[in-house]
Amino acid sequence: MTRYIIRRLLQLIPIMFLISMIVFVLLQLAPGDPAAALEDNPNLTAEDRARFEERLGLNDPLHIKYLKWLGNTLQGNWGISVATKRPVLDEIGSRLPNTLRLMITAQVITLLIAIPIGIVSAVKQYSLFDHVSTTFAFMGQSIPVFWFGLMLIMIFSMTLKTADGGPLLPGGGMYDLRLYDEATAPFADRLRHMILPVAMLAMLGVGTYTRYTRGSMLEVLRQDYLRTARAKGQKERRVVLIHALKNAAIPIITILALDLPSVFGGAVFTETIFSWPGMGRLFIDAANRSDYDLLMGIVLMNAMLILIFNLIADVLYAVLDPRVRFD
Amino acid sequence: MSQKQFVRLALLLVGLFILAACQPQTVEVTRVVTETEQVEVTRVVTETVTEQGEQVEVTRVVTEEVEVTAVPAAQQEVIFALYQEPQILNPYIATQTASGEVNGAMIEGLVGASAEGDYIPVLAQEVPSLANGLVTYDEAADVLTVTYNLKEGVMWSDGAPFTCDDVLFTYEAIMDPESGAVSTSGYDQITNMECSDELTAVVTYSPFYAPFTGLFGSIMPRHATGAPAEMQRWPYNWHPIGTGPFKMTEWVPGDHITLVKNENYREAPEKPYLDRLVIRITPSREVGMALIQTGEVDFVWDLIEAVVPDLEGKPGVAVHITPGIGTERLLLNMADPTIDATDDPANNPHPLLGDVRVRQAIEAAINKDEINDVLLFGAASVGTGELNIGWGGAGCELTPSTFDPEAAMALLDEAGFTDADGDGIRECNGCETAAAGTPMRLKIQTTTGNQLREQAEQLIIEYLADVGIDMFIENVPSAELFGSWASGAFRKHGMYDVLMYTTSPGIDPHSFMFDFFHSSRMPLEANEGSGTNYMRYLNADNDAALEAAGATPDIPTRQQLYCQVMQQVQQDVPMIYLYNRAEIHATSDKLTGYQINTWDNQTWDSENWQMSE
Amino acid sequence: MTTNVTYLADQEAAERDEETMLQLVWRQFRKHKMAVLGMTVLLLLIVGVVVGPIVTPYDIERSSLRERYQPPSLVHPFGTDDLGRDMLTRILAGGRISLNIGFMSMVVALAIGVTVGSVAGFYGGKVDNILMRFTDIMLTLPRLFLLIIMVLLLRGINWPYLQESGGIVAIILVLGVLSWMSIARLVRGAFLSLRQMEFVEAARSLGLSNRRIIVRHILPNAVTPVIVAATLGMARAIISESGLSFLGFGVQPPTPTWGNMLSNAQQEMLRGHMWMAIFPGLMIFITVIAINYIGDGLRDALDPRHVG
Repeated sequence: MTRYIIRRLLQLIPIMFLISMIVFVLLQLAPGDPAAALEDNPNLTAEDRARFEERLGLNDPLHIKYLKWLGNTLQGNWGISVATKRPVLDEIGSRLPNTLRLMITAQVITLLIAIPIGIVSAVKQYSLFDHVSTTFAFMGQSIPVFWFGLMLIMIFSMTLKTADGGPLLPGGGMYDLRLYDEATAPFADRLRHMILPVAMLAMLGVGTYTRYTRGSMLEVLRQDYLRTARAKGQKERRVVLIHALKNAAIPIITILALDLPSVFGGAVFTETIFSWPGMGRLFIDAANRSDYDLLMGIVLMNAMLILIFNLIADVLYAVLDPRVRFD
Repeated sequence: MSQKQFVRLALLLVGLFILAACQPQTVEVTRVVTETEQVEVTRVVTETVTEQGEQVEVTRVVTEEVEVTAVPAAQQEVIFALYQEPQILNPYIATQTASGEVNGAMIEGLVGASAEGDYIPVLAQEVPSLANGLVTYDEAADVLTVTYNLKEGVMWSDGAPFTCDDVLFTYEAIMDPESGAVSTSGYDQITNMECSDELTAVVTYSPFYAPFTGLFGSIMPRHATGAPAEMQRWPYNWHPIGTGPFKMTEWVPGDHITLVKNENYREAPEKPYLDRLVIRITPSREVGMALIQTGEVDFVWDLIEAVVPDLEGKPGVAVHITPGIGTERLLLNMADPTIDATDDPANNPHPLLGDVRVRQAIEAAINKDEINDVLLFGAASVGTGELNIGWGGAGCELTPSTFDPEAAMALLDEAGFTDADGDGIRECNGCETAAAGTPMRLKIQTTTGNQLREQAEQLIIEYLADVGIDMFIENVPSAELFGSWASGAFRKHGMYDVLMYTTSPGIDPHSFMFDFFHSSRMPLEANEGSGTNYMRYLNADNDAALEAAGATPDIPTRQQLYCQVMQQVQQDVPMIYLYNRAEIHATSDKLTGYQINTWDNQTWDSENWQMSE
Repeated sequence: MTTNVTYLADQEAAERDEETMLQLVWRQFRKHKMAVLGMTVLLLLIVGVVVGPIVTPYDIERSSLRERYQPPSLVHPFGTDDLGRDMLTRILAGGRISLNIGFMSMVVALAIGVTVGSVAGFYGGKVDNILMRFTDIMLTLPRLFLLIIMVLLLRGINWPYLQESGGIVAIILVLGVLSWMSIARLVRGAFLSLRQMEFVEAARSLGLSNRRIIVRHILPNAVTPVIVAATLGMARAIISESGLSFLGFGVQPPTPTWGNMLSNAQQEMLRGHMWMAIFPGLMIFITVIAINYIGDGLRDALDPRHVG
């Protein structure tokens, strides 16, 4: 078991190496130039520019740049954001908690909604409830998530108002700046500001997870041992909840991990639309100003999180499914 | 490890992630009391009681009803919506306008710019000039000496005194080769700088440097920064200490920056009137516009002309408009775009734009009035040149071009571009600059994602189609358009037909006039792509006039020379000036004391801001 | 000679089977009401986007400034946009491009996915190991981030065809290159199970080349899951394109797509021009749900286990 985990962790190293190389080369070949921002300044001379470019090492050949970057990264120095001059890790560090808070809340809500619906749909296959929920799940999978976010703002922030004329639900920000700051913002106000972004992000997954839960429950419900359990006279509720759900959980866990890249993608849209200061928006900003080191850092951080979650899912899978052996 | 143990470990890991995610949620509830009300308060009280002659310390929990009164004269605050997050606040590293808006409320310079475009003293007692004797020019030795008398009793926001040494330090920091200041121009002309006493700075330039007054616009404290060579890494860059009316207490990246009253401000305690100035980062202008209508913000920065009708007359909103410094223009490439950065545009002309009649025809075909009226709702003014605003153009009459498609077609006919094959697009039939049969097809490029520019492009394409010129769009991200020589940016290397963007000149016209129109300022291999004469425009008279203007302190002479250059430019049409942008900001109508200023940041007078009831 | 005869016989049999197979599939498909509805909607859409821009009295790109920001009316059923262009006309023209991008990027993804999957599945062993590791890595990468980085990259390539009409070809390539992984996995899976089957052994004993065995004998059997995956992938590609364009990294104006018509939607919506935000998104939604239902119907019809 321990050996299995260690081996999997060791396997991550070449993968991260490969990913970093792919992304680095792609980024370096991309046009655009961090020195471009200087052009706004009419007092700038060529010498000013040349010094700027020299300092950033913009004129080194590709492989030198990569080796420099790799060496620094391995020492925990992920580079400096060209724009803010702050270390990339600091930049990410200040945004990552905000993104994770949004994502984890959204995932929990997604599962809380999707799993019960999926179970009921499967148990009462072909009932009215099943038809309605399947249709909704389908709609959820087909709706462009950013458009859904826009519609949420249109309805809950622009159309519906509170008694004093303010928006019913805030369409941006993390808390009310008129009343609070980072230290004093109360939980309730933060929660209110999370409702719409979380709803948008959860929308991404509810349909998918409902369908997966329903599918794997149906599969499990057909199995022989459940018939046995029933035949033994166990209550239907117990059969479904204990036996069936335990087995149906396995594929759901896999999907949860595999789905992570798309949740990160969804976070980009959510954060853009709701001005949520997370990693997704940081990425878009960095892409728009050719901030290479920062882009690299964000993609690597994401890839690392995804790989770690994949590992956790694999191991959980192995633990839950006695048929899988570690070797 | 058993399976059970492992599940626990995994759950622990997941739990850690969740904890990390929730970490900044301090559950400490502050309630703002707006009216006098009864509140139940629970307190832990420790008191000493004398009990049977012995002193005993007793701790107990007390719940009592207390009458709480609202803070008299409620907190005065302004929430300022900024659609661009400052990346860094060090005034000599930052390149964004947004950075200036934030540090404008904290950092001051020796001299500033008033709303009228005049220099005004800030940390200096008066603006140095020949008239007040603080500027002297030794023509024989070509030495310019500028003396600044600094205000007395000024303190940094941390309480340390402001002295001439800080001015000297600012100069040292800019000029340190390691410091990475974005621009050293002007400061590199300084031959000597010294503090003759605590409050007197003497700066010597040689040779003569015309736009000297614009220097020292921000002063940095020696004691609260670091070594000049370390400037890129100073903590100051994200938490500046200034002499201005506000100081920073909090910066939540991507969300907001909180500034509070600087108790050590020289006009304290009367000014600033505001207790807090919160900069709220919004993803777009439009979000800010929506927020000001619901009263969630009090100031929306940098609006465009097209949205003025959306806000004007809205309850609670005041729109501030003044002619701006930026001019939206088309750059016409006069050199062959297939040659990388030619130094000889005269013998390698652009096949279409190399002929002055074609350039004149394009200008005559464009209906600038309609662009202004329809796209900008008449809020801007039709462009004429660089000198539309500020002292550089005083007394210079420049007439706008006239919209005349007939004249445009006549000019094209005359230049040998006619539509012989009847497809609606002219081609070269006896023209001077292109091979016979070359169709009049031109590419126009601007930055992507700018709705107003995209709209203007559409109109221009239609105007040109009406006179038989086929124009098509190929927009690129701004980083690419404004890319450097080294990155091979097509603008620098002259590989384009027509470009469109805005440039905002500084208060002194010299650097931009010289850089746009002097022949030595074409980006070339030889000068490593410096200069901004992207049109590769050549005119010997202009070269001479620009050189003369840079060599004299006499303002009227300089004005006359710049005007002469601009009139020539109007004839030669290397650029087509579409419209002069208006400077537009919206505020809550409760905000008083604010005066719009196109020459400076809008927070320039934030010490005067007040929220009326 | 023997080979040829067998081959001919094979083909005839295959054609006969195909006919009945198609009929069977259609019969099954018809039972899925939502799939039939989806098919109808999609057909209508295709007719609309092909015919619409031809019969409309309005120009797709030419602006008409006096008619800017008109809310929906009889003259302009979907209103007009910021340049006074008829939204319905642009939505139909944009639909043509959005559907095209969805379809073509799936063709690219199929080409890559089928090749990688076949090679890995057929040869197995080391080849399989390397290719599948690579596929797994690609699946792990945050897709949207990579899409944007690749768009940035392609913008720097000065190949006119790539940038023409707002960069449609570039977007097709980028979407295709990042969407082949699930197809590769499916094809490989089908191969692994099919490769051991008797008819492959038979073909091999007849001395057919590897290429021929793959193309003629194994691939047709792997087609079922791939068709379903490709259909669903097309829906995904349409959403991806719209998302990229929404963020400003997709097809550039004035070429309309449903995505870039929404790129200013948030701003326009906040200024009260709600119709500009509603209609293009609604079209994406309807199209994607129709395609998803078709995919669902196909899965049921093609999968023998999914009867009923």
